[in-house]
This record gives sequence, structure tokens and C-alpha cells, in this order.
Amino acid sequence: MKSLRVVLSIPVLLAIVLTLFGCGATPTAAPTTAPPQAAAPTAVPATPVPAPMTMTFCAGADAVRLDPADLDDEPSWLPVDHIFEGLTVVKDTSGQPQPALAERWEASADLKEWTFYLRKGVTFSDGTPLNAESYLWNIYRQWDPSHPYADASKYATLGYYLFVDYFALGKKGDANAGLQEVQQIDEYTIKFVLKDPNPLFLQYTHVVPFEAVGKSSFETYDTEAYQHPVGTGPYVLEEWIKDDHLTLVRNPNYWDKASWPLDKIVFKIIPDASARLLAVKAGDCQGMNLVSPDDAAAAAGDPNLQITLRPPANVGYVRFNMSIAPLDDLNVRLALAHATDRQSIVDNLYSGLGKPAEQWMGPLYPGHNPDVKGYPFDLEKAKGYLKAAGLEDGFTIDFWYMPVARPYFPNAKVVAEAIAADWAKIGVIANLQTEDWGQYKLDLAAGKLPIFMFGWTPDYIDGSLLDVWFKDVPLGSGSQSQCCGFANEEVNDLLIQAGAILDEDERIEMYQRVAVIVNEIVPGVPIVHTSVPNIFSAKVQGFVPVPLKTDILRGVSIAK
Amino acid sequence: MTASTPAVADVFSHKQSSLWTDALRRLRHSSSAKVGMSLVALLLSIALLVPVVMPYDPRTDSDLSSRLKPPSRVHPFGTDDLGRDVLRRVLHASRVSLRIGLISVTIALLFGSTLGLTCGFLGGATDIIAMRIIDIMLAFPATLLAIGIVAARGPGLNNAMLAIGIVQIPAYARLARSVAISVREREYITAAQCVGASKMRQLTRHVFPNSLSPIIVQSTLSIASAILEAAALGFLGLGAQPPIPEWGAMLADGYKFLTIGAWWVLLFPGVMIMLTVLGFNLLGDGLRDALDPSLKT
Amino acid sequence: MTRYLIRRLLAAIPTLLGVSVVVFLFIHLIPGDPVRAMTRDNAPEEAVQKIRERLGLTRPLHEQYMIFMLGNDTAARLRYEVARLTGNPIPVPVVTQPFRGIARGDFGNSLVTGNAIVSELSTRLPATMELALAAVLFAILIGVPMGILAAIKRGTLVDTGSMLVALTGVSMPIYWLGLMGIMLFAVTLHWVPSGSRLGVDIALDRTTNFYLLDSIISGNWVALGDALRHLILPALVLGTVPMGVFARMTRSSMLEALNQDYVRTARAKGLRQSAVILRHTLKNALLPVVTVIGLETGYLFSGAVLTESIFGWPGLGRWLYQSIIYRDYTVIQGATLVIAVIFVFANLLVDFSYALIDPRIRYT
Repeated sequence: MKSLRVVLSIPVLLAIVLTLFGCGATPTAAPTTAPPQAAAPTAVPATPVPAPMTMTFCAGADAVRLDPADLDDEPSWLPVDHIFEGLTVVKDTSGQPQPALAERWEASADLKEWTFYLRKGVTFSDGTPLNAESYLWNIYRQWDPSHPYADASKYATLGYYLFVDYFALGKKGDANAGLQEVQQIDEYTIKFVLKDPNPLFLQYTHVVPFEAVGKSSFETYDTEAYQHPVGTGPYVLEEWIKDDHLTLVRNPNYWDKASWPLDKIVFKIIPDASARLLAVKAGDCQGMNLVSPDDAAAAAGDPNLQITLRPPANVGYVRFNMSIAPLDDLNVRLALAHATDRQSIVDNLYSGLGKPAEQWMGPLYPGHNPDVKGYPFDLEKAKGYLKAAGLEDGFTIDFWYMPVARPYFPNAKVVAEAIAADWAKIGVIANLQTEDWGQYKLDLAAGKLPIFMFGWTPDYIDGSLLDVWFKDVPLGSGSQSQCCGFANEEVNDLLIQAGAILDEDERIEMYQRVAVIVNEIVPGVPIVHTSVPNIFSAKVQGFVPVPLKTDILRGVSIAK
Repeated sequence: MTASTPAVADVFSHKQSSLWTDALRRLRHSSSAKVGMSLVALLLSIALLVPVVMPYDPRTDSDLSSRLKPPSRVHPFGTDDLGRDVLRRVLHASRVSLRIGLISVTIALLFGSTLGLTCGFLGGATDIIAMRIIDIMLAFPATLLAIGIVAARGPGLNNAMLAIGIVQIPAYARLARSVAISVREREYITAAQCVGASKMRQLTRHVFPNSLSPIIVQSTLSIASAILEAAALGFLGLGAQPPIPEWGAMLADGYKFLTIGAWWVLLFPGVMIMLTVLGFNLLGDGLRDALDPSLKT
Repeated sequence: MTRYLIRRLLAAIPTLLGVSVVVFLFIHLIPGDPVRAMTRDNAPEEAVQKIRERLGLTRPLHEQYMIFMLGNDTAARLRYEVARLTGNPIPVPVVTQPFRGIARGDFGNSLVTGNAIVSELSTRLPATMELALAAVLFAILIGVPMGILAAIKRGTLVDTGSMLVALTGVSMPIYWLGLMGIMLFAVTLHWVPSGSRLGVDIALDRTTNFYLLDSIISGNWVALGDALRHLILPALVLGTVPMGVFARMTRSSMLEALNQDYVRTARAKGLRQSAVILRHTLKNALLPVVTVIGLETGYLFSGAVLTESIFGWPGLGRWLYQSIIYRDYTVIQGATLVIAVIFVFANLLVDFSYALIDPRIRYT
């Protein structure tokens, strides 16, 4: 990997500029004596006042709404998870929930009744004490149609609250609703009663819809409450200049200040990834997200920077629409799968920051099957399958790549080109296509795209992730269970059973069986589980990369 | 000094072709035009010859193990992020990019300047109505308008060229009109009117040649912006589809690698665009001088 | 002159109406269901239907346009009146979520963020305009003198040199220039910040959202200095292309003007070179240059997506780009409309300046 010094050293820079101006100077070898790092971050912070510890974190996109019940995008997650808190929280690389607003919890033997004991002495940033009633305000808002703020078409841009959608918890009074009853046992005890046994319920409680939201903001600002968040989290919103920066300062009432050393966090928005990296190098930011793999690899060699990696919990994949010829032929799908060199893609296009995916669910998940090895790259084998399908001369097909960057496909186009080049070797011509993101999602859901790229970043680490692709009911956002001609009764039954079973080992076994069957059917080619990188200034300490959707600056401090 | 009195020339019934014969003669004597012409000729011959001399299949060229390699003997221009040879891609891209630039500018030039000159010269109701329509078109950001056109007609290179051409029409029309307005106040037009030249004759013989130079300058410049506009469309998936090489798209893809020092991915397509612009500009300058009747000797 | 101005202003009204129709139709020209495209993949049909109703998309086209222009209350009222007059009584309409229509200054709310579009415009438009004006100013200050110089010294090294600079400027990819600028001036030299409009620690009363203006109004010189430091690099980068365009245009029209009879006459009269250029040539050469400046400024007002992305500048271009990607079509309509209106007025200004520069222009 080329050292950053090379590009930063002025001689080369000048040479490039000169070449551009047509003076004919050719930049040759890198200078033998590169000047000592010119890129040292500013030692002097912008403010001369030394007291508060401030971190500026460069983010690639601004938050959309600061309302945990109406939130659909990762950029909003970032500030929201610093302002609000759920019953539980994920704070380490295991991805498993730990106590937050709930000190402890218990489930009934049939996993239908979940009781949570709230922490005492917690207050919202407006001073309201947290108790069963104030906690449940946000739950009722989403679940109880008679709640004064229940009208989602007015208070939520999505048109409905996440609750309904995310976990199929439904609405109060609906006999099919997943959540049948909510009880206030006493001032600090609440109980959720579910329709069916659900071993997953605890996982839900650290996701945004279960965060505590203060009602005073709604009483004051009504439909604009999302701009004036009141939560129980470690920070409160001080200033929000759209698409420029969002400043958080300490919540003076917070119950666990020691875990959050930073006094102030500024999320500064710089959409361009290269410019973001330069801002970190210039010392204008101390950290950044959405790093390109090449930049991450280069930063690893820079003594002023450090990179952190999230455990690879996501997945990027290529999916086939099995109802479109010739993809309805198993041999054709096998041929394409075996003609895809995932190892080379991960090694080169991801700078090795990730693992080639061997199945849909990565090794972090309970239910991952270590015996399923996917489709080893083997062009001869692939040609054999094509021949078996009677297509030894190959064929031409449309291949859709995503128009947006996501952690699993930071540059979908280039991955698409690499795959297309692999497939060309067995005579399959992939016509690369794309369109705007809204239409893309619509078209794939409508089954119009024969082959398309997509991916998944988890809300929680659990085998039920497989439902998204293979369970035959419309559920969960981005669900692709019905898009692509994959209808397999055995898989469907297994997933339904596993979703309600109490014994953890049995659940895992069922998910592992699903992995085997899916692997045989080849509904697509899982490509990669990425280790999502962040870049920080070398002075930043204590960042813990959590394998979920966003970065949390818990425990982060900056050395002087 | 006959410039301001072409009417006199009319009286002596100059041959119709004399303007162009003169122009050609002068074009041959202008050094900037010569440089420009040779650059354009070079680019055109690259575009025509490269498939024969250096055949290339962008689909099978990638080699991930040698991605982003600096210029070397094997790859004189280095390799890109898929390990493809930048030299080959840059040369083959000339076919696509030149086509986009030339065709879309031709569309804009033909429709835009005809409209603008006619309106500016004739004035009156035609002018007002046409200019209101142009104003409406001009009021929209070019890229947005292009996206709208491509969205309505379906993505692809041909529609992208058409869209870019249409989007540039208003700029030409406005410019041509402003020039025509200023030209029509000149003495030689009054003179032509006096000797009874028809409107059509005034327009083609006097207004048109005397309005050409700013339009030519504009068109040589807009070839570059057409190429870059095509890149913007390509970025949204509405232009040339990968892996077909195209200069603008190569720039858009390549700039990410500046931070890790891979300057060659950006430099060479950038230089090609610059040479193209330079070539057309110098040619344009030459044409400008050659076509300017006031320089007639 | 005044009559001319008034007439041109009146003539802008049909243009603006035309613009509003095109903006309104824009969303209908794009294939697919806009509401489906912008909601989540599996939004329940009733939620989607509610949004359609909120936006008035279930009504016939002409009524949608009326809602778009005059608001849903007016449209509902009208529907009621028409029904009453034709003897088909319908219940008095209840408008739960009033939308006042763009003619009454209500652009609605973003479908994605829920923000009032007018309030977003009030911060983004000044951001873009501040940057664009600075860029154009730079481009004029460098480009026009360069073009004049090149024309006067035609054929010399000065001419060749400045035209080479202009050409380089025109064909300069903005991201290249922007990133190089940040590398050199922010990372290596620390002269300017790497991006954004103002340091996050600087307090400023944001009344107009033109930061330079705001800091001058409030006498906040620290903020003024900081805002200038933030502005200079993006403005130079954004101004590079127009600089090249202006230089070339100026040179070309100067050469044209220098060949006119009156210049010869002036020279023959023995006027000094400077007087010839200033009094006679420049004024006449300006017409096409002003056109190009007007067009280019209008273009820059529509936002410079790349510059804004690289410098983290919270402007119009980025906003529009994002809304296109996510099909936030109320924002597309609102932002496009505002840009279009600015364009119309920019064109008016160009026309007025013709009249000022060249009094011979007949106001027909």
C-alpha cells in the first residue's frame, strides 16, 4: 500500500501540478527523504480554553430526525444513541444486550411475559424522573391508537411507527398483534405480554423504538419535536445546523457520567469520504466514519492515525431472482456462484478488512453453520454446471448494482465490475445497471431485477436474521422473502418454529439446517462480511467498535 | 476596409462561397488553428484507430491482484482500482467521450443558435414567446433537467447525449440572441436594409457570420462541459454503463484514490479532457479569426 | 427606461407560471409511483394511501396543480363551491393538515425529514449564494482582466500564457482541485480549515444566514475572520471554471470590439491606448461577457454539488442531490422552483444591464 507520505510530500504534489499545467515534468520515484509528517494534527485546539474535553467526529451524512420512534437511517442513529437510552444496551463487541434503563429483567418460562425493573434515580434531560409511566409514554405512543400522539401520519415521516414494522408488535386491541398487553406493575416495574413465545424480545429492547422519550418536547413543539429531543441519555442537543454540524453537550442529570469522558461531541458533516479523511489529518476532526477500505489500509501506516474495526456482523450479497430464466435452473445459479472469486474481492477491494461470506449469516451469529462452505471459486466446475444447463456458450443477463454506499458495499459499482469480470470468464455477460435508490428498492421487491446486489447491517445478533430473506411472510424492513421466487416450505417451517422455540440449542440447530438447505438452493451468492473501519486521531482512546449499526463514543477520551 | 460595408460587396455580387474560401485560406495560415487542428485530428484518429491497433475488451481486462499499480513498462499509465490498464482505457474512452461531446454540442449548437439568432434579429412576438420558453428551460439546473429527460426516455448513452444537448440549447440561444441584438444595430445591417436585402438574406449573409465568434468560443468550451455532464449522469447510472470506459466517469471513479497517492488514475483522463478542450479551443480561435469578416483583406 | 423595466418585469410573470407548471409536472414525468418509491419497502398500503391523500395525489391533475399553487384549503373550498353551484351538494370539506400552496409561500415539508422546506431554504440558500457570489467575484476579478490583457497583447507570450491558464481552469476537475487545495492549505500548511462554513466554537447570531453579513451586522469580527477563512478555499475552487470561461469570453469579445470602426476612429483621433480600451472597446465588449457572467452565476446558485460535498458546505446543491437520490419530491419541487425563480431574475438583470451598457438597444 502506498504510503500517505508520498502524496503529501510537496515535491510530488508540485510535480503533479506541473504536469497538469503541461510543463512536462514527470513525477518519477518517490522522494528518498520524505519530509517528516507534515500532516500532524493541530496541537492547538480551536478554543484556548483547556477545560472541556471536546471531540469533533466527522460523519458522512447528517441525521434526518432525532425521534427514536421514527427513524430509518443510520446517520440518525449516531446522535440518537447518544441522546436516548433503551431498556438495555449493547456496549461491547459481543453484540449482546446489557442493563441500561432496566437494571434487571426476567422472562416467564414460556417466554411470553417479560418483566423489566427500571433503574432508580434516572431523570430526563428536562428534569422529569424516569419511572414506569414516563418510560412507557413512548411505547404507548407507538402501540396504543388512543394515545394523543399516536397519529403516525402526522408525527412520523415514514407514515407509521417503527414498532409495528420492526418487530411485528402491532397495535393495542388487535388480536394478532405481537404485543398484547403492557402493564405497570409498580412505579419502577413494567411487564410486556406477548401473543407468542418470543426468545428474541430482549434483543428488541436495545433498539431505538424501546428508548425512553420525554413527552415535554412534544407538548411544546408538537410535530417539530424531532428537532428538540428530550431523552435520558448521556448527552443533550445543544445546536443543530442542518448538514453542517450537530453539537451535543453533557446531560447534567445523567446517572452514569463516568462512562462518558467527553464533555462535548460535535458531529461535523462532510459528505465526501476523501475530504473527511483530510479533515482528520488536518486535525479538524478526531474521528470519522464511512471510511473507504483503501483509506483505512493507508491510515494503518500513519503514526498520527489509528483505525478500529467493527466485528464483521453484516453481509453484502448478490441475489438471484429464481423465477426469471435462466436463473430458474439450479445449474446456472451454481455456475455463477462458483465463478465468483470472493476471496480476491475481499483481499483487494476491501483491503482484507472483512471475510469472504460462505453463507448468508456470518460466524458471529448463533445459527451460523461452520460446515457450510459456500461455493469455492472454481471456473472449471462453473463451466461444467453451465454445460449441464445446456448453456455452455454462456448467456447475457442484467445485473443491478446499488447506487448508494453502504458499509458492506462501500463501492458497489466496483464490486459489480469485478464479479462481472469473473463471470465473463465462463461466458456469462452481465449488463451492469443501476437507478435511483428508491426505485431500486421498489423494483427488486417487485421482482423486476433478475440479479441484484443488496446487504444487511444487523439490529441485533440473532439467527432470526435469516427470516429477512427466506421466511415466507412480509416482515421487517427491506424484507426480501417474497421478491425472488424463493418459496421453500421446509425452510419456512423451520424458521417459524425456530422463532418460537424456547431451547436455545434447538433453535441454533434449526437455523443451521436452514443454512444447509439454502446453500443447496443457491438463492444468491453471499459475498462479504466486512469489518467496518473507523479512523481516529492517535490521541483518541477507549473507542469500542460495536457490531451493530452505529458508532458509540462511550468511554472515549482524548489524550492531551 | 470593407468590413462594415458588406452591402457594397453585395452590389459587386460576390460569390456565395467567397466567405468560406477566404476562411479556409486564413485557417491554413493561423498557427493556433494548426495546433488545434492537429490535436483534434490526433484525437479523432486515436478514436478511429484504437480498436484496430489496440483491441480491448473492458469486460475481461480486470485483474484485482495488480490494482492501483503506478506507471510501469507493462502499464505505462498504471492500473485502476480493478487492475485495468489505464492507457488502454483512456484511449478507448476517447471514442465514447468524443462522441458525447461532439453530438450533444452539435444538437445544442444547431437548435440553440438558429433559434437565438432568428429571435434576436427579428425581435417582436416571435422573440418574446421563444425567449419565454427558453427562460423557462434555462431556469432549471442543467443536471436536473438532464436527469428528467433521461428518466422520461430511459437510461443509456444515446439518451444521455440527447439530454445533454437539449439542456445546452438555452445557453446557446441566449448567447446567440444577445449577439444578434448587438449586431442588428450595426451600420452594415442598416445599409443592407437600405439596399433592400430581404430579412432572410440579412440574417444569413450578415447577422450570422458576424455573430459566429462568441458562439464558436462557447461551443468549443462546452464540449468539455458536455463530457463532464455525461460523467455526472453516469454517476447516477444514467450515462455510459460500466465497464465501458468514459473519461468523465474515470475521473469520478478515480478521485477517491488521491488520498492514497494513486494520482495516475485521475491524471490521465484529466489530461485527455484537457487536450480535447485545448484542441477544440485552439481550433475555435482559428475559426473565429478565419470567419470574422472584419479581418477580410 | 422605467417603462422598459416594468414591461420586462411583467413579462417575467408568464415565465414564472410556466416554471411552476414544469416543476409541478416534473414528478409526474418520472415513471413509477413517487409515494411508493419514497416510503419504506413494506410500508402498509393504508399508510401509503394516507400520504397520497396528504399530498393530494389522489385528485385529478388540474386540482393537484391548484393544491400545489393555492393550497389544499382553497382547493377544497373551491370544490365545495362548484358542487354547490351545480346543485350537487357535498359536505363542507375538513382540511386536517393545511397546506397553503406555493403561491402563498408554503412549500410544504420534506417527505424524508419532515422539515419545513421554507425554513431549510432560509439556511441553505444563503450558504449557496454566499459561496457562489464569492466564487463569481473571484472569477470576474481574475478572469476579466486576464481576458482584456490577452486581447491587448494578442499573440504574445502574455496572451498564450493567460489563455493556457484559462483553459486549465475550464477543464479542471473540481474534486481534483478541491482535494489538492485541502491537502496543501489545510493539511500541510494549516492556513485554512478543511471545510464547513464556520468553526464550531464560534458564536454567531444567525439572522440572515449570510455569515459574512451576520457577523458584520453584529460587529462580531472574530466570526467575520473565521467565516472568511472558511470561505476562501471553496470559493477559489468553485470560481476556477467560471474564471476560465470569463477570461476566454472577454478576450474573444475584446478582439471583436478592437476591430470595430469606432475603435479605429478613436485611435485615428490620437486617443491614448488606455482611453481607447476603457471608453470605447471595453464597454462594447462587455455585452457577451455580461451574458456569460449572468448565466454562470445563475448556474452556481443552483448549487455546486461537488464543491459543497468536498468542503462540507451546507448548501442547496447537496440538498437537491440527496433529494433526487431519495426521491424527496417536495424538496425537489421546492428547491427547483426557488432556483428557477432566481434564474428568471438573474436573466432579467442581464437584460437590464444590456440596456444600461448599450443604450442603442431598442426596447421592443
